Amino acid sequence: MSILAEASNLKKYFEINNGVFRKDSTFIKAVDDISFTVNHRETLGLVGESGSGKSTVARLFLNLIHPTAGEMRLNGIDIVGADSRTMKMLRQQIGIVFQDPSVSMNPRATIEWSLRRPLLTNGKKKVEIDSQIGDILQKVNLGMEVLTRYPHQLSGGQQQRISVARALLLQPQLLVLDEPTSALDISVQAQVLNVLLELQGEFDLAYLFISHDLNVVRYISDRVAIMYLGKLMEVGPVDTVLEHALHPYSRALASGSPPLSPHQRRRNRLLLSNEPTSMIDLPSGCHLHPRCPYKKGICVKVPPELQKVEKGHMAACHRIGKI
Amino acid sequence: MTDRTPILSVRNLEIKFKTPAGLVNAVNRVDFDIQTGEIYALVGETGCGKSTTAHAVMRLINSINAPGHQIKGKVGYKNLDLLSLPDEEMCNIRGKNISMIFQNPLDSLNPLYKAGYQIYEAIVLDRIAKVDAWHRVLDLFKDLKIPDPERSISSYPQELSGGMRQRVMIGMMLSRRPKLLIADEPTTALDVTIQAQILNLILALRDSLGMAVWVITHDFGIVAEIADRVGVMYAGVLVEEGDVFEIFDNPIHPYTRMLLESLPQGSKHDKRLCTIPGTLPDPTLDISGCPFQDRCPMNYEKCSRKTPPLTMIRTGHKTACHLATKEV
Repeated sequence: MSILAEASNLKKYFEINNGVFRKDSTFIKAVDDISFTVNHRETLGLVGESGSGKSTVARLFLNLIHPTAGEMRLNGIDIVGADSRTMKMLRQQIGIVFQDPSVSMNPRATIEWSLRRPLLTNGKKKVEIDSQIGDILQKVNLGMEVLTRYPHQLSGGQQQRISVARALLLQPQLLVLDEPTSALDISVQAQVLNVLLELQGEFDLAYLFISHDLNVVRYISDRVAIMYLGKLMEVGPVDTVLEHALHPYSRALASGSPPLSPHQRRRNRLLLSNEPTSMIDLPSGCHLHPRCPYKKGICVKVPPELQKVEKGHMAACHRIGKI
Repeated sequence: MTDRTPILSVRNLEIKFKTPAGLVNAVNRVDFDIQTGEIYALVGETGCGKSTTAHAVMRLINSINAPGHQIKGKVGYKNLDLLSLPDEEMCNIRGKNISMIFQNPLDSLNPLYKAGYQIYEAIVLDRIAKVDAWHRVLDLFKDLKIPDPERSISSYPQELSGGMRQRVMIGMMLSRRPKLLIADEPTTALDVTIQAQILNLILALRDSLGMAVWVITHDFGIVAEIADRVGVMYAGVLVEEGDVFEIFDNPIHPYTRMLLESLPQGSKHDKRLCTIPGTLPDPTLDISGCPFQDRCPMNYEKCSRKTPPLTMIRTGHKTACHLATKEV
């Protein structure tokens, strides 16, 4: 498998000023020195709780915000330092689907307008546009009649499928999906997931699938990366990470997510104490240590590096193999 | 766990709302019991009427927030019918006998009062001496495993994290030792690790206080984790009800079956997920027959002719489907 997208030592710090006249300012390290790759035709699940920085990663990849440090590449082309012409080309290569489809579409424009817009902006011909829109609607299992409707006249699942269609119109290679099913009901979620899988096979797409729902991530991903307070905790093949987690945090996430059947209840659970620490005042050493039942002296002092344990499986923990 | 005296029995509950588009049938002929000490989960998708049912039981639907609404049926609590109780008596039921927690604790807590005071306020309603009431607040905070309880008592809700706020809400609702706790999507706004803590807390409290818990959720994971019995709602109708193991292992109603099949499990390489074709029926129309008929792959002539009643199929397993009674 070859690498499509790559982030190396990516950092994004947001500055917060304490009042107008005070000189001192603090930083929120939303994304702190993370590196990962997305291969061709692969789904990388990016998992984390609220405030872990996963959506910041999505925004960085789309170049909606600039990283504080680090590099991002798509097909070897630098995203961070791209000039406006390269960026326009890159934007066609990376699509995005947001969480809530009802707020990511113009409520005053018809679906046709919303679908036409990206094609017009990128200078496609009128004949091409019509046939392309027809094709893509068929792919997401919607009829031509939706074109004259407004977003509020569609159901949540239809809206989200329109968002997916719009993101795919320019034939991107990478689709960033930021919690694409969290706002949907389960039966509708299934529709969207199925459409995503079909399209992935058909267009050879790679997905960066951001979610907090481990059952969804396990279903759709090939590999998974687990984030906590701006750092990567564990990266690896999805089944390995969720079933034989090396990191206590991945283990807590996997055992804390609700079971699929009552037969699995009250399993051997790892409950983390307390709640995530504030992003403003991060703990020293390993970010998880105030909540971790396995911590030792070293965890408080030294931040663990993401290290390779097996082929393609990495974790950032001082106590790998001892827990 | 359960003895056979229902603490709450809902009979033939019907709720209609007046909207510009016409009269909306939000809840139709809903019948169920909640037993003492059990966790009953009412599960369903958006707009199926699960929260509306709970609001009606708590008498939170009134002529101010829903002008022109109609509620019919009976809600039995002890030997009272909650729906016909005078307002003042209902006030004694709420909080003291039945209490309710909501999805977003920040919306339910008063931002102008300290967290501890909001619980204290509830406790002194029972004419308990001020000093004792404050002791109770502190004990509750400790029971709820709120870190640094002395300090948290005098924090404002916005100074607490989401999980802590939900604990404060639970504490407030438990402060008067109710017999039934209604939890409307109690963990939807929370993260996975915090959700696990709150669910554990609800289980522990049920075991130690012996109260009944009525959980309203759209998440089958939560149902699988804590419920004893489950009711599945679709378009305002209770379509299936039974023991949690029974519902997960042998679902009968096609809606329940398809819903469980649409949960992502395993990997994409194993299988595609089941989807339910079509959309919810228009709630302003009076449907003749089964509400699920248009989306059901197994419907037949009888489904559009006659509304299937909720019928007992096996001990403790009821469903409202013609096919189930046809087979037997």
